[in-house]
Amino acid sequence: MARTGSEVLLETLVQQGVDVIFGYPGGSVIHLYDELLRFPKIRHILVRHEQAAVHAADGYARATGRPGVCLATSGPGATNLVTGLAAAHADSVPLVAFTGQVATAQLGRDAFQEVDIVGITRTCTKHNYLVRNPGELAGIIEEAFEVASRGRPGPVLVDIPRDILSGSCPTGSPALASSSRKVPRNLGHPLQVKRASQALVESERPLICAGAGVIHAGAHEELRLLAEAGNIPVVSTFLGLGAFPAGHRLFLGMLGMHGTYEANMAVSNCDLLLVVGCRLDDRATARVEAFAPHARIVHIDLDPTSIGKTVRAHIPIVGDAGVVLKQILKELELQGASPFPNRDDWLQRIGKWKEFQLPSPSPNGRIKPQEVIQELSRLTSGQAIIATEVGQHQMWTALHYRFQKPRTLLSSGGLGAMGYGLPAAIGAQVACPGKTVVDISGDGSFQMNMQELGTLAQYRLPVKLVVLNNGSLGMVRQWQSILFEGRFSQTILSGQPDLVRLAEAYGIPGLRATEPQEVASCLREGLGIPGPVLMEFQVDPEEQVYPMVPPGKGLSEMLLGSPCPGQENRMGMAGRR
Amino acid sequence: MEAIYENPEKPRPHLVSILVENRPGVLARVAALFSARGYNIEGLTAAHAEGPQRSRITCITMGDSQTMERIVKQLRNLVDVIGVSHGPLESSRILGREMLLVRLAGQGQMRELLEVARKFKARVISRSPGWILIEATGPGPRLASFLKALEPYGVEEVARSGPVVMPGHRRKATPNPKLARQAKAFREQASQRGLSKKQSERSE
Repeated sequence: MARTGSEVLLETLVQQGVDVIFGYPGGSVIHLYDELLRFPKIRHILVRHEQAAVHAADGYARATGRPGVCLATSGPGATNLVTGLAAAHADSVPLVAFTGQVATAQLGRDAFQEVDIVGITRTCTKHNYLVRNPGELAGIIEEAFEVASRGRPGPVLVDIPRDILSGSCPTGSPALASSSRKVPRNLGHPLQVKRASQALVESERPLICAGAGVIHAGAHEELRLLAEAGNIPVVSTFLGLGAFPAGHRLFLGMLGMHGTYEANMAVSNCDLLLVVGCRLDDRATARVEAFAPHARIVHIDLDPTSIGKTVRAHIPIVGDAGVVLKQILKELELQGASPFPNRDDWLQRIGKWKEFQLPSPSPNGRIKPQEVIQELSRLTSGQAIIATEVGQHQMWTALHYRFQKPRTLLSSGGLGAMGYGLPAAIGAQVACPGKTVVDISGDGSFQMNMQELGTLAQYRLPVKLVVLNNGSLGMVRQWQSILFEGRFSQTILSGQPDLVRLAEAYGIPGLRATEPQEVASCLREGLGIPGPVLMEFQVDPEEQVYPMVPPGKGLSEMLLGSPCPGQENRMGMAGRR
Repeated sequence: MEAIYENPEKPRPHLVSILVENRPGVLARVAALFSARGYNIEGLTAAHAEGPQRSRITCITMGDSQTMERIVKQLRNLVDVIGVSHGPLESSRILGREMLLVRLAGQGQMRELLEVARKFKARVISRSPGWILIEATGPGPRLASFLKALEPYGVEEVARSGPVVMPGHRRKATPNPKLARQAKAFREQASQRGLSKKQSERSE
């Protein structure tokens, strides 16, 4: 008996090692869902909204490094994937999205639930396909996985008409197109590696900036070896957090708009910046002209378009982060033991910046959101998988959670998609059933995909939800308070649901803390309950994320605290130190 | 740190020649890359290239050399793109030709008109009472001056093909002299040792 397209699809997925699909059924994929019943090897997680399916596949991929898979029907099912695809694209996350499409004969006739999803997602996927005849189905799926994970990873969409899923489908897949086998240049150019090593040896004030590319490449060990061998301090981009253990004597935390004081000062004063696996976007560099003004820049990235996109690299190296770091280590080894100059002065200067304390939040009887995250970090020893939404809580997480391992931060960094965290946590928890997975959110972004409480309840996934409730859209409110003289336009949320009772409506235990002294006990209790838990912290809405580099300023021009009346306006204070 | 945005070099027309897999949507993908990144395409052709599996897309776009470098890198990142070559429009590294069809109302002196056409190596491909259709090929700027020269004769309709281009040199890399010498020495040694020609060729 000839096999149907649905069978071929699922068999190919099994061959690709896919064990989980996040999806939502519909008319165009109904044959596929029927066939799914005969494939117990593939677990299907039914979400409550297609956007959650793609974010969950994204969370699965970030937590494991394997491509995530999601599935949606044609039309609205497909368009609901778009935000998640764009988020994965912006952060180079490998995933394969399958969408149903109207039957081949109806294509282009404005049929029920027809959209040109390949056209819509052309610029927010790494690549996409419309399957035009059954013979190419298996080949396209194989190619899709190849493209998603090879080189700089990214999302790939495969759109399959309903008749191909239901009709018979020949076996044997046509060969992949030659271009999909383009081999990325993993090995750095030896001469450039030599130049970079030389620059490292000569530098008096070197600094490493580690991005998510280090995590994608699994190069965190090489990174640590290089940093320790040369006594080179390390800063991280937001998505690079976890590539280098927080608390390490050489780690300075995150750089950028909300970077730590010591990281931003180090970038502004170093004489050599070794950038590994990141594209240096505007949130990391702040004003480009003032970025690392005294430094020669060595830029290592697998994707040639990332190098020199915003900041000119003096020594560009195209290659895999792990491979190139190994090459540099080897080159340094060849030059003999401890070829580095004495860097005590530089490390001492950095030590002084590290000692500098931001003005601590003044106690006013309200819970400080930073303290909630610090306590969570202590209780989980920085080992939990942390998903975040987007906003103030996201930056507080970056500043106060002490990430120890790669693949433990799941967050929409490039796109900044609110509503990402809860579904991503679901994906990560499905991938790593034994690990503690926490979604940190604000009350605004929690409500953007809170229907996924239903998914948590259905599968009893033990995700811990930490909601920092300040009754407002905090990050925009912060900008309005600093840059728009406190005119809060549409950032105060009222008519909020009772989050604890909302969770309980789904059969999920809910806890609430309203006083500072309840924070630790609430977290301890919540983390101790098996299964999903929601913990709501009613936090001080006046708390803001500092340091902050205002738009148009350089990294060293941080605001370090609220410019309150009667207090010194701290703008530019950092620059004078 | 110098910012990349500030570049004193003036944008000028560049030719970009893109060899792609002949797959559905590939032209849209290339065009989308240009529009999404804010680059404008000023002329474009797309047709089969070597073999039926491949097409060549050729376009003219304005940019300084850094912009061009960025465009080319991004094009190379597209899955369906096999290779990209590019260069400024006025450059011996790239040879470009375009075809022009022009319909004239046939005003003025026909003899003069034919003289102009002859000067530009253009030819008349059709004529009727009241109009005349002329075909010309050449580099884009020359066709532009041809059109200007035709103005007095009543230009009614113009169709241009957009550029087709090829590098001004052979793509095959010239052999590395050092490697060539080594290979020669190896062949000589091999023949001295009495290896057959076939074997020594294989071992190269």
